[in-house]
Amino acid sequence: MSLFSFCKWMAEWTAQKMLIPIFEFQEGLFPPFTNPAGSIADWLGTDGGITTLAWLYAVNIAFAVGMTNLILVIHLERKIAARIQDRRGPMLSFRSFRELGEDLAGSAPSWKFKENYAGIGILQNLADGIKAIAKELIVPAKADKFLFTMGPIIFISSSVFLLVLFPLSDRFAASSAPAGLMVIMAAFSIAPIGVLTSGWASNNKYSMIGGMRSAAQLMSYEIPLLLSMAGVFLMAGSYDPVVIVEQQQASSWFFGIPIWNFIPQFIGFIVFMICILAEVERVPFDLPEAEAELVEGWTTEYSGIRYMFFLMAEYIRGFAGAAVATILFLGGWAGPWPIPPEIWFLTKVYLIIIFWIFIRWSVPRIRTDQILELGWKKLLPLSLINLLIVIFMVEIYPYFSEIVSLPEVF
Amino acid sequence: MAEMWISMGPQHPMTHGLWTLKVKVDGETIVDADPELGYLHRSVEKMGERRKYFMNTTLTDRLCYASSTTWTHCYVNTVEELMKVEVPQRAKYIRTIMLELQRLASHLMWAGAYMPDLGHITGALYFWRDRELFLNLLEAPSGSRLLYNYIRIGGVKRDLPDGFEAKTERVMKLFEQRLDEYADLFENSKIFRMRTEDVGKFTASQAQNLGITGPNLRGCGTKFDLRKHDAYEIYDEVDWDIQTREAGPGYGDCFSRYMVRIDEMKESVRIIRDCFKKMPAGPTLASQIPVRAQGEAFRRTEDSRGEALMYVVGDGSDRPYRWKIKSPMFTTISACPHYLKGYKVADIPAIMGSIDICIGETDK
Amino acid sequence: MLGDEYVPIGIFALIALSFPVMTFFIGRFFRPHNDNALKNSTYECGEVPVGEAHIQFHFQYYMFAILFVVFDLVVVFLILWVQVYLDLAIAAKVVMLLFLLLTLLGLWYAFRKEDVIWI
Repeated sequence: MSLFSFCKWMAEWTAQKMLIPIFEFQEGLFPPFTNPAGSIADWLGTDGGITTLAWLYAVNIAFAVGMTNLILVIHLERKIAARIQDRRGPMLSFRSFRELGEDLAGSAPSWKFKENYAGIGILQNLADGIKAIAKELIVPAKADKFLFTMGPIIFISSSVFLLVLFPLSDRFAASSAPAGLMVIMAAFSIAPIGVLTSGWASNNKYSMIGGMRSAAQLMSYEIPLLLSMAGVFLMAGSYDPVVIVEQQQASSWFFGIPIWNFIPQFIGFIVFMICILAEVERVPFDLPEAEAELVEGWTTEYSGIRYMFFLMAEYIRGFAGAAVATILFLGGWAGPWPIPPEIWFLTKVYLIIIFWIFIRWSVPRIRTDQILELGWKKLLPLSLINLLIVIFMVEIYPYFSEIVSLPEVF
Repeated sequence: MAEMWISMGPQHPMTHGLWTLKVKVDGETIVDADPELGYLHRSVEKMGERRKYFMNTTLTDRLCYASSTTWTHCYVNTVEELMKVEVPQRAKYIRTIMLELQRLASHLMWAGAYMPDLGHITGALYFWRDRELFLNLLEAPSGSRLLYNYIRIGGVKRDLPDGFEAKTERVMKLFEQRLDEYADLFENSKIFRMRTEDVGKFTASQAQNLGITGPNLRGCGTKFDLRKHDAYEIYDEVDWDIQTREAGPGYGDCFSRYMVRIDEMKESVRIIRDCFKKMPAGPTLASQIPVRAQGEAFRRTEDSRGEALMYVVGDGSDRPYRWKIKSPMFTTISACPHYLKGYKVADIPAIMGSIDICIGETDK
Repeated sequence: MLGDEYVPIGIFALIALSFPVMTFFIGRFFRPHNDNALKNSTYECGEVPVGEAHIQFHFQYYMFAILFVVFDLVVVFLILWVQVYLDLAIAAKVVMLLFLLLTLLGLWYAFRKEDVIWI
């Protein structure tokens, strides 16, 4: 059963059992010509109404799944960083609350400090959220008030938007748009506008330089990013994630092992991974918010929940970037049978994220001119070479397979 | 084309203390720079003129919070020359050991502070983790972890505790292993070298003209170390070499300064080992220490950051008549427009971090 | 209906847009509002800022924007071309490759003038 049919079943159930009776009751209370409840009830009875309601459910489920993953990613980042740096990381959890309560109540006066209060630390995210929402939002007097408020909204909503765009499997998908990956990339590329807006509106020199850097970096890396994706699109002949994964699964190697895109398009894979790292602004490419010289760059003037959302949006973008990399190059949700495809997909995504976390905590940050030089002079030609190799392979393959009678690869 | 002045500091992650660097930038390129010092001025020299000679070691401890023993030692050395005190041989050895342990702690502090400047937070925690080991060693004889007040006029406060040599040897063995690990993480890292090589360059003659001393000068290839050239304590008796970077492409930049300090740490370990081997028995404090002094004296010592110089004038009373401190970092920071110009904004932390700023001694 | 698959994307675009707006609005009831002139001043490391940040910024950044616009067009053409590549006639393939070659020539020329455009 796919996500959509589940949601449709749920929508039908709720419409028949709850919504239509409620609206009809309202219609009975007031005369029908002043009140839209009756027409809503009629609309919910139709197929279109049920479908819309079902999409609403599907989108919300995907959103919830995405947010859960986001919390896990942030938690993973903190814990792995702590382990790399020889410390313990956040330790606050439900168990620690219970033990603290017991101690304070005096029911179990055990001051075994090493065992007490030590959990896995998943509540730290909640604590940070509560703290951030209770902080004052400061708008500098010299800032452009409207743009200063709009910048975070553009950046955050475009990032949150990414959460539902990628499917977890061919059945668990909130959107089954045929141009799915193009929509994802479009949502990815809204962010520079928000960054530049925030940076400029702050009227702060650090924010200004940070915003400029960020815009230059994001723009420069968009081109090799899209070009490295072009090879995958060429092989699949579609932008649909489902088609791309099916194509990777169908192209078999010896003994029926599927050949995922990262083997024939290894250059493209490397270029894509570097570019997506730059696109989501993680170390070593996090120079727009270089805390050493630019005091958090374009987010300098933001405080409280806005700043918190900037950080959150970066993790969402990281998660979405890893998901795109998985779909394009690592075979998406394809994997051996007993494990469900959603788990396969998330496993691959989390492996990429863990790899990024290891990179983040073990390399310094590189410089603006170096990052741009890398993007324009190395990655752009490499991505074009990758595309040419793919074209060559696709062109040569029919003749080649006739001579040596190879199995179907592409 | 608009250029703008950006003030970095006093509240800025790059400054490592309280000072302001005003930079004029054209886009991302630095056109001009203007350091402003004096936020941390405590008038140590004037305070010292009101205290007795032996009281001033508490002040000199607070001159540089990262390397307090070396400054106390410089003061004590000067006063001993003024008073013509003969320090026992064992005290000299103990002093050398403490100085080198302090140098190790100070260089580790610097390396830990330098890594976040380059965006490498893990490096900071690694180096500071190792610094803890050396602070433990410094704590063992002196009893405190930051301001030791261990070196006294005429010797040291007390003898080394039992088992100090074995403990030191254990720490140094661990530290040497860790340095080899860090070589993979930093020296052999492509990105680390991209950030530090050919950045913040100055030549040897430029450095000498600007009054830059210490590891920053040795990073340009000048073989100059006061521990050899104006030997004090027992540095001429133990076995060690001056660490410099060879002249060639990429010398005199941030990477060479980093490497000089890493090599110096290895050399400090060598000095400490040799000291333990040659250390004689005997008293640790001179039997006769005068209270009053007449005349004038000056000594220069090789601080962790460069040439520390002190000048003391005594007028026959028990307090110094005039006390002058020359700080190595004051000249180095003052010279920063010379080595900042032409580089990028992103290079400012990499350059200013690499010269090892300590504002405590700079502002005195 | 054509584009039925994009309905959830449209729905979610609205939800995503309302997510930060609603959170900022709800947060209004939890956070303090203690404005003062010092707090609202621009942060410049504790110093009074010299001059404005809204200056005419360096041309080098805009050069990247121009290069980006050129290449973004190329990429848009290329991405569309790539999707239907397997069904294309030989002429369409060759023409696109020629177009690509011309753009690369332009990029090569731009990088020859590197000192002008580089940050």
